Amino acid sequence: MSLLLSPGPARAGPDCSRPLTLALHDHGLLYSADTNSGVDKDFADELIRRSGCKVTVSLMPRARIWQLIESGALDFSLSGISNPSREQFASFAWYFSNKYYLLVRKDSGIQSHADFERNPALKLGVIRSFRYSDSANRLVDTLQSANRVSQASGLAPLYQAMTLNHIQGMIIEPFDYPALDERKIRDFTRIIEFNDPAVPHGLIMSKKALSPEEQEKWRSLVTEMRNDGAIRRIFEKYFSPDQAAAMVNF
Amino acid sequence: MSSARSNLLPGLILAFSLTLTWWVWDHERQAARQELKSHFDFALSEAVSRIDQRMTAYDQMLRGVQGMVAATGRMDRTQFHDYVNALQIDANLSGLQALGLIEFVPAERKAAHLARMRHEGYTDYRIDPPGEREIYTPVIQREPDLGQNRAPPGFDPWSDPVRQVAMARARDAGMPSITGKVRLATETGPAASPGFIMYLPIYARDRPLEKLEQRRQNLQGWVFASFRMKDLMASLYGELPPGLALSLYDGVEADESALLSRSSQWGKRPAIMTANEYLVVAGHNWLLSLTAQDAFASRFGRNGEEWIAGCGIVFSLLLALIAWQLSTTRARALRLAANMTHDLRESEQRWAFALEGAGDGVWDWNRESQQIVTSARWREIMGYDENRLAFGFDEWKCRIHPDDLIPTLRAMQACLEKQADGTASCVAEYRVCAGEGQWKWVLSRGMTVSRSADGQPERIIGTITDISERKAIEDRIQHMAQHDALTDLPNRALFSDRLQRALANANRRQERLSLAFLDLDHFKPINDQYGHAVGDQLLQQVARRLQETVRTSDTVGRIGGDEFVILMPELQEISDAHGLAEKIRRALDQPFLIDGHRLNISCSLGIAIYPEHGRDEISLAKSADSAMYRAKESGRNSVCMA
Repeated sequence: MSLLLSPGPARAGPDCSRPLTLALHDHGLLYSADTNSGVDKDFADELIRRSGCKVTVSLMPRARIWQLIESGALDFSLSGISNPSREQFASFAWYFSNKYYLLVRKDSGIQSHADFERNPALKLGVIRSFRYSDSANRLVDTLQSANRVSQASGLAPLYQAMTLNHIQGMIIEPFDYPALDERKIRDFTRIIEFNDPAVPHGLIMSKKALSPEEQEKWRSLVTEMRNDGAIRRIFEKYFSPDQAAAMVNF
Repeated sequence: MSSARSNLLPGLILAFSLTLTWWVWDHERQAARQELKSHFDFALSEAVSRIDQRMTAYDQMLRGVQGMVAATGRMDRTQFHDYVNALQIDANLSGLQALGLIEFVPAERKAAHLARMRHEGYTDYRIDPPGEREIYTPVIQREPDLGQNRAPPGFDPWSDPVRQVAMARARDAGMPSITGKVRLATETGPAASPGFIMYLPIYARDRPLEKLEQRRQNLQGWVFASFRMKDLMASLYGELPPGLALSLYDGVEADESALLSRSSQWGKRPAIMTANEYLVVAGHNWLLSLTAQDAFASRFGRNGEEWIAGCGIVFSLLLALIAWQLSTTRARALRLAANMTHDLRESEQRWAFALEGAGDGVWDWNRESQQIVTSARWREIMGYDENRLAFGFDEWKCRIHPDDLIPTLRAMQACLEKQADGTASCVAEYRVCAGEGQWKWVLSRGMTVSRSADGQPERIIGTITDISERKAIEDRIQHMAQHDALTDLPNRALFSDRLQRALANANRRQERLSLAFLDLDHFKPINDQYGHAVGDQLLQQVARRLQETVRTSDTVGRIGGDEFVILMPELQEISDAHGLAEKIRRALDQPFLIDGHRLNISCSLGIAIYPEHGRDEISLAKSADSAMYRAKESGRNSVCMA
C-alpha cells in the first residue's frame, strides 16, 4: 500500500526530499492485514500526515523488517523495542509501553514460566526476530538453545499451533487479547505475567537511512503526537480508556 | 596404611579426573551442539528467508500487473501479454506456472462478458463450471501462452472453496493472498504436482479503497500467479546442503495430505535435529519442517567430544594408576620397613637372649654424648641399679680397679683406632669394684660400629663377661705351679724367679743380699719313726716357723724334701744375714708338738752373700750349699758363712 500525501505547511519538519519507506507487520491490534487497520496503521497515517512526506507503507514479516532497517533499505517501522544489538543500527522514538505475558495451555499444568522451562516436553512458539522483556528474553533464549522453540513469521499460525497442542506456550502482548477471544483461545489457556516492568515501544528509525538530525525531527513529531493526545486517542480506538492510558503514559 | 586407605587416593583422583573429563566433555558437547544448532538455525532462517523473498518477488510481479491495470484503467489482454513477456520469466522463477487475469463478473454482466470474450476470438468460450451464480470470476488469460497454459480460458476459481478463500481475502485486504494446496487448473495428468495460487485484487481506477465495502464494490478482478510447488522449491534450493531435509506443508500441521514439497533426503536417515517454522505467506500459513541428519553433524560438528572423552578416560586411568602405584609403593615400603623393624627387633631379642643367656652384658658407648647404654646383665655384673639404662663414661671408669685402669683405657683405645684390615676392636680384662672391697674380674670386648664423616668413631658396642671364676682358677693354677704343695712355700721355680729379680735390684742399687740354704737335721728318723704324715706335718710347721721368723721382705722356699732356701734382700750388713740365720736356727731348735708327739729337730744353714760369695744365682747357690754342708759337717745345728 502506498500513501501519497501533499506537503504540509512550511516548518522545520523532516526532510521530505526523497520518498521514505515504512513497514508494518501483522500483529493483532497493531495491524491486521485482513482489515488493513490497527494501532500502527493509524499511527503511521498520523505521523505521515504531520510530516508532510511521501512515505510508502508496506507489510512485511518482522524479521525482514529488522534486516531492512539494519541495511538502510527501510526507513521506518513501528512498535519496536530496543536491545543493545538493535541500538547499533536503529534509533527509537517511544510512544507506548506494555508488559509481556506467557500464554500457556491449561492442560500443560504450568503455573509459572519456571515450570515451563523445567518441563522439556513443552515447546514455545515465538515470532522470528521478536524480543521481549528481560525475563521473557531469558526464557526464549534458554528454550531456543534447547531446541524447544518453534518460530513463526506471524501470530496466526502460532494460535493454530497452540490450539492443536503443537506448542504449549507463546508470548503475547495486550494487542493480542482480542484474538484470544476471537479464536476462543482463552477457553484452554492461562496467562502468566512476567515480573518485568513495561517495555517501551516506539518508532523504529534506520540509522543508516536517516541522519541523527532527521531522527531527532521524527522523534519530535512523535513527542508532539504524545503531547497533544493523538497517540492516546489512537489507542482508545482499540483499548478501553484505562488500558490506553496505562500504555501511553509511561 | 590399610588397603582401603591406599586405594582411597587413587579412587578419589580417578573420580575427580573422570568428573573433570565429564565436565569438559559435557561442556564441549554442549558447545558443539550449540554450534551445530547455530548452523541449523541459520539454515532454517535461510530457508525461510528464501521463501519469503521469493514470495515478495512474486508479490512485486503481481503488483506490476496491478499497477499496469491501475494505469490503463482496464484489464487489457494484449498489454498483459506484453507485460509478461517483458518480465522474462526465466529459470530463476521456474516454479511460476502461469500469470493470469481473472475478471470479476457479476451475474448481470455475464452475458456481456461472454459476448466480449467470444468476440475476442474465443468462440467456444464459456465459464466453467457452468451454472447460474451471483458472481463469476472466470480466468480470461494465462501467460505465457505456452504448453498447459493454452488450456481454454473460462475456469471460474471462485467455484473452488480453497481458491475462493484466498480470492476473498485478497479482495478484502487489498493485499496478495495465496491459496492452500490446490491442483492447478492447467494440470491434466493423473500425477499432478501440488500447487498454489497467489491472488492480488484489481480495483477500479481512482476509487476510494480505504474501507472494506469500498474495496468490495470497486473490485474489477484479480491478477494471479499459479505455482507448481515442486518446481518452485527446486528453483529455490536445488539440492539442499548435505544432511538437511525439508518438508513444506500447507497449514500448520505436518500432515501428509497437506504436503506441498519434500526434499529427496527426507526420512532417509535418522533426524538428529528438527525444527518447525510457521510461515505466514501472503496471508496463508505454511509449515516448514527442517531436519538435520548425521551428515550435517559431520559437516559442521567439531567431533571434539569423542577425543576429550577418550583422552580424558585414558588420562584419568593413567593418573589413577600412577597414584595407586605411588600410594602402594609407599605402603609396600612401609610394610617392608615394618617387617625389617620386626626382624631387627627379633634379631635384637635373639642376640640379647643369647648374650644374656651366655651371661654377658652388653654396652653401647656413644662417644659424642659420653653415655653408655647398657643391658641388665651389664648392670648386674657392674653392680649397678638394674633399672638404670645409661651411665656416664667417667662413672664407668670409677668402677675400675686403679691398677687396671690405665691398661684398660689403653686397650679400649684399640677400639677407636682403625686397624689395617679396617676393623677396630678391643679386648680388655680388668677388675671392677663389686662392693665391700671385693673386686670382680671382667672381660670386655668392643667394636666400633659407627664413624663420623671424618672417620672418628661415634659408637662402640661391646660385651662384658664376668671372668672372676676363671681368674680365680688361673690364679690357683699359677700358685700351685709356683708353690710347694705341702708347705705352700714358693717352689724352686718361683724362688729362682724372685732371686733373679732380687739380684737385679741389688745389682742396680748396689746392695747386698743373702741366700741361705737350710737342711733339717735328723728329719729322716722322724719320718721313719712316726710316718710320713707326721713328717709332712713337721715340714709344714717348719715352714710356718720359718715364715714367722723372717722379715716380710724375705722369701722362704722349699727346694727338696727337707731342704729350704731363704732369700734375704736389702741387707745392710753381712752380719744381718748371719743374725737372721741364727734366729732361724734357734726357732727350729725348739721342740714341735705333732699328734701328741714332742719332736726335736734342728737345722744346718749355709749363707752366701751377694756380691761377696757370688754374683749370680748359680754361684750364690753353690756357695750357700757349700756353706750348709760345712755346717752339717761341723756338727749340725749351726750356721756357716760361705
